[in-house]
Amino acid sequence: MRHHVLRASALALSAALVGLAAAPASAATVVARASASAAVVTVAGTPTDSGTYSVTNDGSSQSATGTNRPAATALAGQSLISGGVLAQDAVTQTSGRSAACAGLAGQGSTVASVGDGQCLTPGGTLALSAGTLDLSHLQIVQSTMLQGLDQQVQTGLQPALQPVLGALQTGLQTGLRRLGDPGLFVGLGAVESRCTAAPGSADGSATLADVGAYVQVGDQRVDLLSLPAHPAPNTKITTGLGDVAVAVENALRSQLSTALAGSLGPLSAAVDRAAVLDNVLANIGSQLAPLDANVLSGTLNQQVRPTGGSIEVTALSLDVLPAAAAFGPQPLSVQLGRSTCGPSDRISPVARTKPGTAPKAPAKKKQVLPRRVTAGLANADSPHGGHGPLVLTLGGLLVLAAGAGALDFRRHLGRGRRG
Amino acid sequence: MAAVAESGTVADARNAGLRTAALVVVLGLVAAWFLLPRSAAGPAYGDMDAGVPVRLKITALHLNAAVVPVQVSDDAVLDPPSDYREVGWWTGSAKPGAGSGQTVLTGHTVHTGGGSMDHVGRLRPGQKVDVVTRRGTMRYAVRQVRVFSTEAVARRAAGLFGQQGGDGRLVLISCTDWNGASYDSNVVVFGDPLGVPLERAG
Repeated sequence: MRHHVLRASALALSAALVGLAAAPASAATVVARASASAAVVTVAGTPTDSGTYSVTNDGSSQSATGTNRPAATALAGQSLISGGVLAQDAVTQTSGRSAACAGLAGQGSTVASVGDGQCLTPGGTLALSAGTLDLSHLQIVQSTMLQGLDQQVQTGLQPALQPVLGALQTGLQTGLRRLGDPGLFVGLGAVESRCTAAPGSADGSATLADVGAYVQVGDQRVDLLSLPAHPAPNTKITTGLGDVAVAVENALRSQLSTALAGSLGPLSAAVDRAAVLDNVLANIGSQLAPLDANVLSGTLNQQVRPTGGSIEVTALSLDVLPAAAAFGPQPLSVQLGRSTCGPSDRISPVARTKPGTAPKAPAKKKQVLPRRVTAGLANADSPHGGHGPLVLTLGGLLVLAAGAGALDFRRHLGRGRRG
Repeated sequence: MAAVAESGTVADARNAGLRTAALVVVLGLVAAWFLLPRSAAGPAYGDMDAGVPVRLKITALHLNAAVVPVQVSDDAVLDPPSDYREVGWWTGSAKPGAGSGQTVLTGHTVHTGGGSMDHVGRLRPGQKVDVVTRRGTMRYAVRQVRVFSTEAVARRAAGLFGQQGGDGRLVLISCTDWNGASYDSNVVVFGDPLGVPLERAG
């Protein structure tokens, strides 16, 4: 009996030792890993996301965490994305390969299985509302109305200034009411990123279908950005809302023109209405000047390679900058379609033979935009002015005519004397 | 009596000489009338493959200038051609006829006159601007003319010169606001692409 107990104890101890020896090895070996997250929206520093679907492979089977069927309602606590189709999926193979795909598309889009092709087929267009512009603080400044006008006109208009100012203020408010609050939108058909990895290598790309940023001013759409369908890795974008300011000025022009004409009364004939209107609109334009600053910035096909065998791709990373806060929209950031692939704990033949030769993303030289145009000269030094050819032609014609006349004069003179 | 006859001969010869000179002038003007180009407008427009611009023509301003390529310097300054009668096409911008980006042309305003873009600030919405390329002539309609301080141009660089997006619009830029010593502002003309004029009607 005692021998049986000893044999059973020895067997159990051996099994435990074998188990302990094997356990660290199986926990440390992940032959493939990948993850995908459809959308992350950060408002006032608080992120909301669709969750992350992560998969790992230990060489014999795949295990997963999170969901690969996220619902748009998962993005609670934010108003940027409401509706649309979210996609996030990832797979691994025991060979060490991994693939992931993530993105967002409009209603009616379909989600395909993750692989080498696209995982989202565009349907309708989705409009993401990034905020509305508050123009209620625009006002008519009396001191700027008559700038540059003839002194006589200024003196004549002075008694009627208060009624005119009042009418213009009313016209401005009416115009602004008709405009409503211009909305800042990102419109998209589909945005997605994809990646694949194998031991020692990783690759990724992004596709954007019908993606652009725009502002809706009344019934007019002012396009700010139209994004390329297949952007190069780490393509930077940035824009201000200067064109929106122009659209607002143009929209207010007719309203203010009517208000001005109606308030001048008998002075109407004596006052250069266009000059007053230009002054008023120029002043409104200066109040809209902050819109010239960069209020939207972002990166397309953002790629990060932590190691040679892994990659993180974000299809569209967009920030509404603090400069926009002057007109209402709060700073926010959104990342659409984030996929990660690799690394594999298996060592690739390439990595074994050539350490430190991880492939790098091709560097794209950033285009230098002009910030200053020096197109003015005090005077023209060259003797060949703009009318040079004309002067030369006319001069030649006159010389030719004078020569022909002189020859004819001599011919007739000689003939007369001989006669 | 002989003196009177001599005087009559000289007068006849002078009249004949003047007649000949006048005839040469008239013939020269008639030839110029037929040879000089005249403006025409056509209601229909076609597409054009993007091409490098070689000439800028604005009938409303009597502007007809050669276009040469120019580059932006490393410190982000765009300088028109040194020949102030020419116009520069920024090679980093779209070629006329391209469906995206924007075509940026710049020319000098010369305070004493003679610059290729002395009068672009006088353009009005709707007026036409032709950019001649080797692939055809792209016509644009002026949408708006704006004056920006040099600081505003720097702030708006992405909108004025950026090539992301856009529909191939034309951007003409020169200087304005002479302060007695230099220019304080830039005048910018925006033009919407119409296409290649397909017919010439009087």
